[in-house]
Amino acid sequence: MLKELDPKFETVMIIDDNLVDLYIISRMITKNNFGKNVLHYTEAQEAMKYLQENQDNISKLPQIIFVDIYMPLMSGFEFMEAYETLSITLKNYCRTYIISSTIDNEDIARSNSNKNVVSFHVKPITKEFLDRII
Amino acid sequence: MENTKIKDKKNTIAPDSVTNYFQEPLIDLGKILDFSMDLICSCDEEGRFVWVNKASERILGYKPEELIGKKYSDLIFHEDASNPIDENFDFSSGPHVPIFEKKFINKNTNIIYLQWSAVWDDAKKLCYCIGRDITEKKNIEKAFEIERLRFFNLYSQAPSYMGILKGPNHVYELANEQYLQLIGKRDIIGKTVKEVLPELEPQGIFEILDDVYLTGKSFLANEMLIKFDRYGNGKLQEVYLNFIYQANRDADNNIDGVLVFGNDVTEQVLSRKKIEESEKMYKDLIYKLPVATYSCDAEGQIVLYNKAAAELWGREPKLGKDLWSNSWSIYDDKKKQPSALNLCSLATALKEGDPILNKEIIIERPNGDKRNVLPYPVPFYNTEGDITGAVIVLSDITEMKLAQKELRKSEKKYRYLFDNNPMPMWIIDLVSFRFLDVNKMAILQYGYSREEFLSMTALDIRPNDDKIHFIKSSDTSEINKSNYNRGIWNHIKKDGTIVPVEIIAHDIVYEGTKARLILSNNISDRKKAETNLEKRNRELIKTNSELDRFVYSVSHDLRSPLTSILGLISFIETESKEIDTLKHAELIRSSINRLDDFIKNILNYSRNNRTGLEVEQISLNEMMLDIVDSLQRMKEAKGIRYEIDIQEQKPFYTDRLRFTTILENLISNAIKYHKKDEADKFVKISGYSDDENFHFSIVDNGIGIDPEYHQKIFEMFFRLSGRDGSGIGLYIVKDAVEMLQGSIEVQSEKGTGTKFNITLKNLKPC
Repeated sequence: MLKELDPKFETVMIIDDNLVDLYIISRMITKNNFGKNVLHYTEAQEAMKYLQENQDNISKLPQIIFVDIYMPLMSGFEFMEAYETLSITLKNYCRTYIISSTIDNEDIARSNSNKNVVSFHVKPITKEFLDRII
Repeated sequence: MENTKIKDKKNTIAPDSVTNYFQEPLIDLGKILDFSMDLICSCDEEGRFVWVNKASERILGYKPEELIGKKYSDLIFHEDASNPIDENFDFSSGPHVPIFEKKFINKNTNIIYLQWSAVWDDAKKLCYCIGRDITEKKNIEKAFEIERLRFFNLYSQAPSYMGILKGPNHVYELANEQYLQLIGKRDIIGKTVKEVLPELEPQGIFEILDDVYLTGKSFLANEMLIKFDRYGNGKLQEVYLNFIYQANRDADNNIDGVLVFGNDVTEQVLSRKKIEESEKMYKDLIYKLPVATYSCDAEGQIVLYNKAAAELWGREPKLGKDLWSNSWSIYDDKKKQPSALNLCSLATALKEGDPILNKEIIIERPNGDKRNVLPYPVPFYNTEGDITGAVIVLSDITEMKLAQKELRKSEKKYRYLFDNNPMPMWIIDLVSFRFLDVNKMAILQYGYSREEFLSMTALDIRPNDDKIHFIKSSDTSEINKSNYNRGIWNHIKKDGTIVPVEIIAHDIVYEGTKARLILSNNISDRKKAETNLEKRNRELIKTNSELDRFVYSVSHDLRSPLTSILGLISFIETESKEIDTLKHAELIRSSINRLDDFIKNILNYSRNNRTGLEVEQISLNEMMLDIVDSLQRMKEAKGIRYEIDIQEQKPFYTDRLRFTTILENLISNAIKYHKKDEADKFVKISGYSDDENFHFSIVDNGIGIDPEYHQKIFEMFFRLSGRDGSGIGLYIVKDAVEMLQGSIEVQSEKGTGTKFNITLKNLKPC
């Protein structure tokens, strides 16, 4: 229904073990023309593997990463620890947001205090939230 | 005088007897001469007897024929042998008749005094001699001399004073040294007594002297007090004298004077008076003593007793009749029968240290009362060291005995408490740690017998590891002020099992030694309970943390699908054109929001109760603004005016999480329950902080709360309206306020708004 508008970002990575949430975010992104390509990951390890493999290949890296906190095997915080070991190139290029349904202050504070995290946002993500990301 | 007479006689007789018959023929004369009392003889030139009359046999013991031809000098007593010349009669004096005395030795060896007269006939060359036996005279003379000497000695050396007063005026004729010393005068012979001792006049002495002189009756004075002015200065000195005035009679038995004979007994009298005085004092003392006291003579007869003694005896004893021990009964402790009393004399009892005298006695009064008495006898000794009597003090110890009995009773009571205490108890010596006593329960619980306990020390009931610790702590644990000390120790029972015990110690003096009373409480069960409790505690902590994790996952796992639903609803809302669908989507969102709020509140409450306070300094104004700001996304927040006026007079310290919870809930309530049609909606927050507290109030002009619900609004799950709200918000507020040691109250009327006044303690660290 909308005319051909260039999406705001080329590639957006979403990491969430909950398929419904993954769908919601993904649809929100595409509906709002937020990103052109969306990389879906239900396991943080897989996403990290992708980033590690492409950490010096900017063309393949996402500009925006949305990561959930509570996931099996590798949590969002564990993901951020691994993220710290990635290349400067990648860290300068990617902007990471933590998206979670938690309202635990500790989680929120911990997310905000990570220098590689732009901000924490409580689910569900809204159009207003996406609009604020430029 | 008599002496003189004797000499005169001799002089007259001797010449007669020699001269009258000298010229008569020898034979005729010889017969006459033979009967003469005197020894008549003639000697030749050499002193040999030529003729001797028969008197020789009577005087010298030799017959005349034995003497003729013998030298007279052989018969002379050689007392004067050193003077041989004198032994010979002096014949050279011619016709003159010499008279001389010579001692001769009788045949029977007696010494014979002979007085000689002799004449020398130069023609015949013969000496005619007459010797008179004067032995008897000589002896009388000698005896007289001895008597005289004796009298003199007696008179001058007598320990008594003596004097002789002559005549009616009592003139001193004689006074010995003693007498002079007594009166302190000299040269009194020839003077009258009145002249020498005028001070005696008022003492009636002269009347006595006159009386003796006139009547001849002797006067005997016994310890008479006489005052002499010894130094002539008018100061009279008192002396006590024993003396006799005795009439002296002359040869015709007429009284011609007074003999004075006496002794100065002042010292004796004074010392006796002193003794009498001290005796009186001693008697007074005994009599007045409030303690029963009596004294006895050596025979044990009571000679003195005091009132207190009579009271104690319950009767008056008969002096000189009742014996010292009459009132005594000795009770044998066991038999309760008076035992026979050895009625020996007191002196013997004292001398032999009869134990009866140091033993408690029982005095039975005539009315049957019995008193327990302890006697203290003090013997008297004379100079020879013999006991002459004693003073006996009786102390009535009946009351003391009663008190002792009471004491023993109470001791028995305590003893009973000790022995039958349901807790093991013992007493240890503080130095050796030796057990001095143990009670039955200790024996029962520890398994050692009483004898075993008493042969052990406190160390023996401790495991080796504890022994050093025990010694150390005993050294240092000067039991504190209250004298009680508690501690947990391990003790070993006889069977080797180690039991934990709690000790209560109390320092005491046990039979004179420093000791410690120990009460031991087996806390095995308690220990077990404690262990159980600790286990339970650990379990609880675990459960709590599990609950924490549960709540934590609730926040995620419960909210997670809610957020998914909200996300999906947002798609429906943006993509659907159906009015009903949109309306349903809106209702779903509202329901989900309520559920979400509820989950959030439950989470807050659970955290409020489980986590400890983390006190930090809070910037109040900043905090208020942040919270108000964060609440602006509430849809009811539109059109509300906020006034925030906080005076931060002192830095305020509290727990941030709880403080936030309180503010969020109260402010969000103030926002939520506004009147929709109110033109000037406001929320005012004002307050101040001081050293002690932070006082603030949150005021709104919303729908208000009916006063009838003011108590109920803080209850869990109490809700005023059907719309919104889980009914847990104010409950959480109150809970948090209490945790922060504060208070909250509400002022509100329905329809006019609500005011919450809150005071929170400033938890400033000291």
